[in-house]
Amino acid sequence: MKSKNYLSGTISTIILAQLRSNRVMYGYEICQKVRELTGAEIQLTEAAIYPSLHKLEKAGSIGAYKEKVNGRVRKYYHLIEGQESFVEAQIEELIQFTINLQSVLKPSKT
Amino acid sequence: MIEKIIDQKLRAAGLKNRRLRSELLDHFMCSYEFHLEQYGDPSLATGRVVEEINSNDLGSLNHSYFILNLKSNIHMNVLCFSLLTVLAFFGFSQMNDEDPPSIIPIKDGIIVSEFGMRIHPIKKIEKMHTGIDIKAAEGTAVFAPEYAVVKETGYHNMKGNYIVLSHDEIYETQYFHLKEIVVSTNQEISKGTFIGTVGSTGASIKAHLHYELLKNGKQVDPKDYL
Repeated sequence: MKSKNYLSGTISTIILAQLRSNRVMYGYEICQKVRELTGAEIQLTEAAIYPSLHKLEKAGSIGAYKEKVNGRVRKYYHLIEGQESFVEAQIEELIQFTINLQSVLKPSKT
Repeated sequence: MIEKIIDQKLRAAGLKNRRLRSELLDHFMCSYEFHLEQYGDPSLATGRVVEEINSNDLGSLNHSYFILNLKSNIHMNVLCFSLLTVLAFFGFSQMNDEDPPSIIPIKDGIIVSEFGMRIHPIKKIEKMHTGIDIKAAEGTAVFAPEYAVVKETGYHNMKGNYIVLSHDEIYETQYFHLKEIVVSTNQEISKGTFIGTVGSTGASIKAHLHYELLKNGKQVDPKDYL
């Protein structure tokens, strides 16, 4: 939870990156996957993930469909065709930002 | 955080199996998202999910979960549909944590006397038989059917050489008329551990194992769990 303060601007990109590597995911699955990948350092709460997912969906950046699985309705999200370059750009931008952040916080000895 | 709230509610309902809890957690998180989209308000959605959890008889799940483990359909109708399908999702074989002892402690053992009222073979009066008798040759190995801590071992003039295993807070198993006991009190043993051999000590006519399963201190029919 330490990283919570820094998360707000990055959630949608995290989601896009997850959907890019896993193709189709439901909301809670993304939370769990991110938790697993970061050793629980990054925990997306429902307050963070669902509004971001719904916003991305409304904006047409990602697609969604509902499916009944074991008695519950799951909403699966996926990237959509034609949005690849947008997704790549988003992810690349954030990676670039973290690199820049590192060089600011930890200037290399030259 | 809704995830924590749900998890706490599931624990409070006495759901001990981790896999079962995480499956239900997933279930209610999906429900949360559904309500969130419908109402557009997190606290309303939370309220709806909490209501849903409360209205489900989660306590009965532990019970039904054992029943499912027995591959029986008898009690399935007590479950509401959604929870039923959640449970059905589980592979029966995967449900290992916190299961009741569910195998006969002797390889290829034959049950010769069942649990229930019977004429006592020595006393010749009708008496409750609080376990099952498994026929086996003297010296046949007896195995722990589940992980356990040895609660008690000793000799009793009726029970003969006996062992009591405690499997968790709920289940205990007892083994009577043993020839040898090879475990000692407080010893921690895993499933399949050799604990002793079949004999005819105590009130017994022929070599056999009297096996009892206790649920919360009360004898139940082990056959219901096999």
